[in-house]
Amino acid sequence: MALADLEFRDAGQVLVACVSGEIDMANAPDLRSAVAHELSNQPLALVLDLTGVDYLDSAGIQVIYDLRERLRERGQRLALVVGGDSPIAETLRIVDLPSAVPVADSVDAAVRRVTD
Amino acid sequence: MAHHRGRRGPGRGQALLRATEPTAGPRAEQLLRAYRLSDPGLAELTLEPLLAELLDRVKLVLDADTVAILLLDETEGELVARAARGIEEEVEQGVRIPVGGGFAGRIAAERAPIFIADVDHADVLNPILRAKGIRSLLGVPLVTEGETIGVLHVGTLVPRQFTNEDAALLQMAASRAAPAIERARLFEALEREHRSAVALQRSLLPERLPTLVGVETAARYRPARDEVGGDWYDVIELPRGLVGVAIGDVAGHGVRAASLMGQLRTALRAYALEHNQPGETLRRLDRLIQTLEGRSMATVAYAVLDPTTGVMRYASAGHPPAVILPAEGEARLLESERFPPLGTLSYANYRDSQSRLEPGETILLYTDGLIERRTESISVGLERLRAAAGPAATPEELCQQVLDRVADERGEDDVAVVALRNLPIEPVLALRLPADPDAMAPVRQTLRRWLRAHDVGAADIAAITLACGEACANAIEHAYAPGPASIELEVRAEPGTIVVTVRDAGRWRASRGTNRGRGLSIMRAAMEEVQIRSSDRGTDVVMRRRLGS
Repeated sequence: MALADLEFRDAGQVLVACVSGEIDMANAPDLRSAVAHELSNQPLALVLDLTGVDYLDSAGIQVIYDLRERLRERGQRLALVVGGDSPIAETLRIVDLPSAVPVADSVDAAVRRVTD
Repeated sequence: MAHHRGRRGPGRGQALLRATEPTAGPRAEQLLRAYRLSDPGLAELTLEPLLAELLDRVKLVLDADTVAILLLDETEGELVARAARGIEEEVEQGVRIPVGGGFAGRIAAERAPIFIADVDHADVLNPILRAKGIRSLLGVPLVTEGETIGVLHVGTLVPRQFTNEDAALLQMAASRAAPAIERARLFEALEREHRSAVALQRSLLPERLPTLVGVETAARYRPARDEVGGDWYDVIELPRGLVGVAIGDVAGHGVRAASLMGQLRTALRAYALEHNQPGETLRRLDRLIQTLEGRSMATVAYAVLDPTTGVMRYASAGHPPAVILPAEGEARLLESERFPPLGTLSYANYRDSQSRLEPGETILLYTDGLIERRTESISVGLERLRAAAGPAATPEELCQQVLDRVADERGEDDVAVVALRNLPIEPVLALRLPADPDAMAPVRQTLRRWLRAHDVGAADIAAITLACGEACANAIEHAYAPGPASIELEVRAEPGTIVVTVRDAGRWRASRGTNRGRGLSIMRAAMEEVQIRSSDRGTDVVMRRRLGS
């Protein structure tokens, strides 16, 4: 059984990658490769929608930092979508991720953050 | 739901007259010869013994050196050597003679006896007959219900003038044997078909059930004695730790029912992965069955259990009610909304019923072959099942127990049973897991289930699961390869506090890169107390969290 599902869609000039399920050391490398593979130079930004993620540990945090690095090298931006009452919101706060990557509570809000 | 035609193989009804019976007087001798070849006991034999017995008797009675039986292969229009005495090579080499050609071929084509006084000058195709040095041959057709099914012939190594009496005896033997041979052949063909249908049925059932967190499962399938049915069972691993358990019964029997069963089992799995509502799964399955060729009907029961919460959703399409076995006490039938079998009603609106399967409880699904007997109402069978489904140590034992105590031993219908137990919660959670990233998800699931059963709230569960995950990840990353390594996890509840211990045989390395450094920060943030004790024998990480903090 796959730990997490991954779906992509285009929101204008932004690529939205929607993950649902759990992210840990078993699937983090594959998720990072799959998102990196889908990401061309075209979009202005990537929105990583983690609304449906109910477990994320340091391996998942590392994926976010890796993607941020990769995007920055190409002049693309990154934003996350995490609900306020999401079980992973606390994890992100512990590692101070919101100070490094903008976090919104909806895909629309995240797209606005990276396109304004 | 299989229907049954009576089908019995020939048994050993009456004792056969032995071919070596002592004899007396020429007239008695003649009668005995005739009787030996017309013995009705021959008709009771299956094909191989029948042919063997026939050959021995003909050889003895006609005092021949060789005897052979060739049977017609209708698709090829050839006679195939099937059994022989004195010329066993015929059978071993699979000699085939075209109908109309050679000695045996002409007998079959002309449907008349042929006598060859001197083989050297006659039209004999089969080189084996010549090589053996056979000089004279007498053959007759095997005819039953107006159809030629083969040839029976005898031969001698010295020239012999076969008499009319010899020919009459051989014809009598042939006319007696032909219907018995045909019957035995048909029976063998049916047997073969039955065996291949059973093999097909078996191949369409799960080879083994998956090992899943929080539950234990077992299943049995017992085919009907005479026919293949369309019963199946399945245990399905679903997203987010849910478990599906299904049972179904396709109406009818034979290969068609078995293959439809295979389609429905696969389709149910596919629909089940899309969502967690059994009613919706059955609705889609119903829509599918309506598109299949021919009129098809099936009953199906499908349950989805969340082993973490004990919530169970259940839907039934005309299937007999599931049995719920508590950890102790009497079994009960699971009440649910009733819906028609799949394929019987357009737009049937299958819906779930929600109930609970508490830790220690077991749900048993079965097909009607388990409870139905022709002479009694279903309620009698249901009550017999409810009474017999007593406390059993394991689902495995339960399945065996109900098959032994409830199923009709005549085996007129096929029977499938599948049992799923929501495992009891241990007072202390103790796990030994391989140092393998893939072991992490099941461990989290086991941990959440245990914490929830100990009344730990959602926020505490998330924090403890996260800290435990980080500690295990650290142990896995620093596993002292080569060779398989393992990690021990122990979780206990103290008043108001959960204590987690993660133990491995490696050395703790706090921060190899920022990632692991983050892991430790996460552990310290999620738990009130984190102690790391390293020694030569390994590392213990002991973490405590006060609940509701």
